[in-house]
Amino acid sequence: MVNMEKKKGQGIRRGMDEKVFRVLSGALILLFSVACLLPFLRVVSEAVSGDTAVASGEILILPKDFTLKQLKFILDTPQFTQGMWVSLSSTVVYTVISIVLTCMLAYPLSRTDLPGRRGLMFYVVFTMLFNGGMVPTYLVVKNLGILNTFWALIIPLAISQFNVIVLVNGFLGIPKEMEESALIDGAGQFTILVRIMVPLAKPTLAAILLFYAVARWNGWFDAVMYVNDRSLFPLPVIIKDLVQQGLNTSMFPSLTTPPPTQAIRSAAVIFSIVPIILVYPFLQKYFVKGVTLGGVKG
Amino acid sequence: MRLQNSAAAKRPSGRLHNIRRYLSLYAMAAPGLIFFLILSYVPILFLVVAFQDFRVGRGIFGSEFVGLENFAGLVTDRLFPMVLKNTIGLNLMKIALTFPMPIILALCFNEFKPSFGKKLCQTAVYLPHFFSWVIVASMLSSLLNLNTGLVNRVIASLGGTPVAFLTEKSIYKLLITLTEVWKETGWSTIIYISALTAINMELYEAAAMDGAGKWRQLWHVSLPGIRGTIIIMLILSFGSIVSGSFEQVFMTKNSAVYEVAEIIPTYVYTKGITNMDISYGATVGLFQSVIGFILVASTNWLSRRLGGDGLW
Repeated sequence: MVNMEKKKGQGIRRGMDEKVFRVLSGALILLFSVACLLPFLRVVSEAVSGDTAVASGEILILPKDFTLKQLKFILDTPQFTQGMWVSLSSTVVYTVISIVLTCMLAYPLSRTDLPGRRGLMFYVVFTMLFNGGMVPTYLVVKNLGILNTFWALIIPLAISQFNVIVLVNGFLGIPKEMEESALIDGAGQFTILVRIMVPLAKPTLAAILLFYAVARWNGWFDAVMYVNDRSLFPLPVIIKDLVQQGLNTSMFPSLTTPPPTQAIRSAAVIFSIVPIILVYPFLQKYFVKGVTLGGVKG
Repeated sequence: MRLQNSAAAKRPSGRLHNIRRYLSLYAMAAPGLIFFLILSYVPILFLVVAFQDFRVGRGIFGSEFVGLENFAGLVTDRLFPMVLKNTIGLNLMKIALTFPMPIILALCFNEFKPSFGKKLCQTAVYLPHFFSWVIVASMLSSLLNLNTGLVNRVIASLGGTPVAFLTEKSIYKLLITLTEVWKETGWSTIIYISALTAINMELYEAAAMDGAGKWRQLWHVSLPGIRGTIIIMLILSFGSIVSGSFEQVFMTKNSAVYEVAEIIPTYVYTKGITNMDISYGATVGLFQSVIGFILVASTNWLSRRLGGDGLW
């Protein structure tokens, strides 16, 4: 009897424990989710609010004195549209080149019977652990003669070791029989890669496609390093200058009375974020897979 | 059986065929391998400028060798100890705060079965990872501006004195760290969530049978189950103790916080690229690479020695 009661007591306590645990977990998740979304909503609101409201810091979360003036200003200012064009074109070219090179490198590295495979894998992974650093890399890029050209935004970061690892693991997940049966049909390695491996590895490819595209779209460090020519500045560099120097009227001669920096800045930020927001929900399941594959030890 | 036989007959004869196959695989990998040769291994060779008095006009082959003079410069450089201290301080704070957060959040997510609400929250917490530091810095300055920032408006309306957060030396590192917690915690949960889903459900059931409550299950099943992942992430973060996020600090440092903000990567940029002191920039960079490599290698060694997982 005593025993029974003790057990019952434990059961209730355990039930309580579980409830407390769930409520705490749920609360933390909700809190964090909201904290992640609010700054984003606020920047959208700032971009479409009246400039005096923005300048005096009246925007909490929701917009005030709704206007599209700032967004229109961005689209009417050549510096911004030029930057968007550089970002867009470099993102497309970069992503295509990077994906092709990554596939061509990852596929051989995923053939377990290839002599020297482990050595080649080490050759790639070692560069993640030790490298020459910023200054020697700058010298190499300079010697390649691509400083201050469009290619400075493409070549120096063309292949990411992480993405190679992700894709090698992706290809390793494809049954070996797929390659063997194609070999029997007399297919060459390039045909096998393009016709069989790439279609089968689509989810992984979608993940690294997103990683490459986002890296180029958001990236500005390499542009700051390798490009001086204003006409080659991608959008983030222009926003960076806005954030760091404020709105320099000499840079924007088309403007007689400049609207407040903050509203313009937020409007520029919107143009930088929206493309990502648009593709992001559709690719979520793929990039989760991609990150997971990258974490698996090769 | 017959099918296999005919297949074997059709297949071009063994060894010769294999050699051809290997050759075409090597050819396929060549562009990628050449990429790493030129953009990762040649820069390692170019580290030779750290032992030279590099002159742009003379180039790498014409510049004079000065032995360890640049490294002696590290010792006499008035700013370098400060930069090193900032780098290590910032990274230790980052490890203390940004390392446990994703584990905690992943454990929370693990409490809930897949549902629309859970998915929505995951979508929300992954999102900041996709914002560049430029954008985050812009948001930050709008939130924390002395006169118009939201936070200071709230402080003012509560009767407090506004704080110039972005130019306040004493909180710069904490501010940077918390921004990183906000930006990367959600993203880093992915790897832990996938490790948690790999844990056998029977272990939880067995623990519950033995009378283990939620907290004990957490301690004795969940955490040991993701131990390998935790260790690998920890090794990687120790490796970056002397590096750090260039973009993050470059975007937020200003003259008021320079003393606490400058870290090795931004210092390398200032010296090597802005001031064009190539040799000294490369020297500081080499210092960073070597220490980083030693740290990763030794943490890895230690982890394996203690019977845990390692990167290699």
